[in-house]
Amino acid sequence: MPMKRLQTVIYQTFKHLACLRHRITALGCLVLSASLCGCGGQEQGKVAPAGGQAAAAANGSPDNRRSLDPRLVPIAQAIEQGRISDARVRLQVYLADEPNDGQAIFLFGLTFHRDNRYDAARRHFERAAQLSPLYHPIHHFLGWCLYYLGEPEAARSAFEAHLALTPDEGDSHFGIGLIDLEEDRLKEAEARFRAAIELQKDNPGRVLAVAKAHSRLGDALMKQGRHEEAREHLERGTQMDPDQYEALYQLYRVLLTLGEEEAAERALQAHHQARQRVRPE
Amino acid sequence: MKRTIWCVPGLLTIVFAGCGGPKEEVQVAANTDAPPVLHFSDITTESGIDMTLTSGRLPSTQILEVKGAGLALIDYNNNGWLDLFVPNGATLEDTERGPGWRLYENLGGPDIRFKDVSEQAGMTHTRWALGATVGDFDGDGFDDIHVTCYGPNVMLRNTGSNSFVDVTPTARVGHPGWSTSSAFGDVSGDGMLDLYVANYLEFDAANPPPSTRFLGMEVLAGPRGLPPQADALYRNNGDGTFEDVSVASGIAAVPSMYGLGVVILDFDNDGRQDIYVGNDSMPNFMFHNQGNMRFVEIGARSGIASNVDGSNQATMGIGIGDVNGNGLPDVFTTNFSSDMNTLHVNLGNMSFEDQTQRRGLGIISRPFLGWACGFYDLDLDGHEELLMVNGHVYPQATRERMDSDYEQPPLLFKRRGERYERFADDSAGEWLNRPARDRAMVFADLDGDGDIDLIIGEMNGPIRVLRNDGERSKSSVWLIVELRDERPNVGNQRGLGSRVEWLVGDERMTRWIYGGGFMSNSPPYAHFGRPGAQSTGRVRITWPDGVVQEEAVPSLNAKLTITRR
Repeated sequence: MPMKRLQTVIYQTFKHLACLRHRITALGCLVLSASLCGCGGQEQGKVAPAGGQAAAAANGSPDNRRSLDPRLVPIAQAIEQGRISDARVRLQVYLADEPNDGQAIFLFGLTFHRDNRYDAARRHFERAAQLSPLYHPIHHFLGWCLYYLGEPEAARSAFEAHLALTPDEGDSHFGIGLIDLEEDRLKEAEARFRAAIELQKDNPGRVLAVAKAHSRLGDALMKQGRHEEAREHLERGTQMDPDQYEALYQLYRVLLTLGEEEAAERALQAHHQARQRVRPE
Repeated sequence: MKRTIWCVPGLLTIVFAGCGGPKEEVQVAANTDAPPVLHFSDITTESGIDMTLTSGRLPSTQILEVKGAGLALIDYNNNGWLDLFVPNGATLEDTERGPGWRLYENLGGPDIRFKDVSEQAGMTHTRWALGATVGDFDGDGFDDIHVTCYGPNVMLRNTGSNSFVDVTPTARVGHPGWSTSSAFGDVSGDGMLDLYVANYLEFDAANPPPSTRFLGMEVLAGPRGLPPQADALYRNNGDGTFEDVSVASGIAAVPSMYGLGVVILDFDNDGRQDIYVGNDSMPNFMFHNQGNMRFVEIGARSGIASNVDGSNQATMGIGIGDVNGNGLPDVFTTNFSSDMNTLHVNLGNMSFEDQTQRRGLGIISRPFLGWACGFYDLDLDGHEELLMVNGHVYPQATRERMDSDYEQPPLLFKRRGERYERFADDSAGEWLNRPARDRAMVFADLDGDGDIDLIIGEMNGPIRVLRNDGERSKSSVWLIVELRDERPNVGNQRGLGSRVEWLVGDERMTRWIYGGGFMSNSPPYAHFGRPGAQSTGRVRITWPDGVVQEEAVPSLNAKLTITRR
C-alpha cells in the first residue's frame, strides 16, 4: 500500500476519535505507518529479510531490524484499520511460533494501546524494546504509554530513544514538549513544539499533528505571558483542526486576557460546538 | 517516638477580647536539629473507633454504592476537643435501615481516645447517609449537623445537653432526593448560617439502571445517562426554619448537574460569600454573590468550570489553600483515573488559572481516582502539604484492564519551591503506601499537640485514625486560630467563611475557615506551622462580611481564640 494512501486510511480511521489522547494515538499510528512503508526509519525503503532474525528471535537476544518484518505488515494494517480481534488472533498464532519476536510483541501491545489500555500495552512494548531495540515505533508508542500512565521521565527517555533512531520525527518532539510543559520548562516546550511544526508542516498526512503542535505552542506561550503570540498559534491550530475543543477553550481564555470580549465569546461557542461534535454528552 | 504536648485546648486557650489578652507561658520543647520527619502512626485499634463503614455491598454494582460516606468533625459538647460524626450508609435492599450513624466523643488528652456516644446522643438514624456538614444554624452556641442522604436529608440540632434532635420537618431542609454534600455559610450576610445542598442524580435503588461498558468491561452505570438533580439553597430565617430560595437567588437558573462537593467562601474578597460547587463530569459552578441573596453563575468565565482544556472533570475532593501566596483561596480538585487532578489558582477578580502542570500535580495523578483532599502543614515546616485519598469506583479496575487499580494508596505532595513533589517514603508510615478504597478524610489536631492528625474513611472498610507522630525541627512553631462571633443575633459564631492571616515580619500565611467540602467538613479553625519565628507576629481576620480585625499574637505553640469586636 503506498505511503500516502495508507496514511489517508489511518487518518480517516482516527479522525472521528474524540479527545486529545485519541488524536495523539492517531498521530502515533502515522509514525507506525511511516515505518510500515519504510519511510520513517534510518534505512528508508529497506525491509529486513524475514528469516535473517530467526536465530536472534529464537534465543531472545536483540535483533537489528529497523523496518517491520513483511510477515507482520498485514497484521499491522489490520490494527490500523481497527480489526483488533483479528489482529490479536493472528498475533497469538504468530507468537506461538516466534515467542521472542520483538516486533510481533510490539504489535500485540499495540492492540491494547488502540483500546487505550496503556498499562497492558506498556508491558509488551517494554519487552519488545528489549528484543527489537532498533525498531523505532516501539519507543514512540512506549513513550505515549508512559505519558498516559503518569511517568513523565520514563516517557521522555522513550521519546528520546525514538528520536535517536529517527531524529526528524516531529511527534516525539511533540511528546517531549508536553512533558516539558508538565515540568514547567516553558522555553524548552516552546522549542519542541516549534520543531514539531517545522518537521511536519510539509507533510500533507500530518495536518492534525501540525495543528496540535500550534495549539500546544500557544499553550506554552500563554503560560509565558506572551498572549498575542499565543493567540496567533491557537488561532492557526484551531483553523487547521476545528475539532480541537481544548485549544478553542484556551483561545477563549487568551482572548479574555487580551480584552477581546466578542472574539472570546465566539471562541467559547466554537469550543462548545467542537466538544459536542467530538464528545457528545 | 517523641511526643510533646504543647498545650491543652480548654486549659491553655488564650482568649482575645480586643487587644492584649492574658498571656500564657507555653512550653517549647526541643526535639531535634534535623529537618522535620513526617510520620503518622495508625492508632485505630487503641483509639476506640471500631467501625466498618457500609456503602452497599462489595463488589459494588450500582453508583449509589461507590461514593462511600464522609466524616464530620464537631465539638458537640464544647469541651475544646473535636469529636467525630460518621454518616454511615446502608444497602440497596433497604436504604432506610443500615447499621446507623455514629457519634464518637473525643475523650481528650494526648492519646486520642474516642467513645461511642451515639445512643446517648440520640443518633438513632439508619438512613443511607453520605455526607455531613457542621454549623450552628440556630445560634445557640452549639454546633448542629446537616446530613446528606439518599432519601430525605436530616438536620440534627444540638440540644446543648450532649444530644441531638432531628428537626428536619421544622427546619424544612429535608430534600428528598440523593444529596451528596452540603455547606453552611452566611451567604445572605445577616449573620445566620444559610445552607447549600449539592444534589447528585435520580436513582431508584429498587429499580436500578442496567450496567454499561467502560474500556471493554461491563461496569456499573452512571453518572452519564442518568438524570441530574438540581441543587438547593436555603436561607436561614433565624427562627429555626429555612426557606428554599433556589429560584429567587438565581441558583436554579442553571441546568441541573451531578453535584458532588460544595464550598462556601468569599473567593474574590468583596465581602460576600460565594459558592463553589464541584460537579461530576459536568462544568463546576461558581455562584458569585451579588448581594441581596442573588447569585450569578460565572464558572466558565472565571475559568473554574473545567480544566485548562475546557474538559469537564469528575471533581470529587475539594482542597482550599493559598498556593501562590496572594491571599486568595485556590481550589484543588481530585478527578477520575486516566484524567488529571486540577489546581485552579485564584488570580483575583474571579479569574482562575489551571496551574496543575506548572505546579507538578498533573500527569502523576493519571493512575489515581481521587477523593477527599486537603492542604495542611503536616510537618510544621511552613509549607502546606497536599494529601488526598484514592480508590477506583469499578471493582473490575486493574492496571492491566483500566490503567488504574481498584484499591489505591493515598497521594502526598510536599512543596518544593513553586512546585509539588510526590512523597511516598516509607518513613511516613505504612498507611501512605497501602492501597485501599478510601473516600473520606478529615484533618484536625485531635490530641492538642499542635500538629494535624488524620481520620480516613474507607468505603466498606474501616475508619482509620492516624496520629501525627512526626519529628519536628527544633525551631518549628505552630498556631491554631479559632474564631468567636458572639454578637447578638449572630448565629455564625465560629466565623465560617473567614480568612485568617498570620503575619510575621514580611511573611504572610493565609488560611480559611469554611463550610463544606466533599461530603465532609474541615476543622473549625485555622492551623499554621512555621520552621521558626523571630516574633509572634499578628493575625488578621477577615470576617465573612469583609470586616477586618487585626490582633497581636501573644505567644506561639498555642490555640488562640479571637473574639470579634
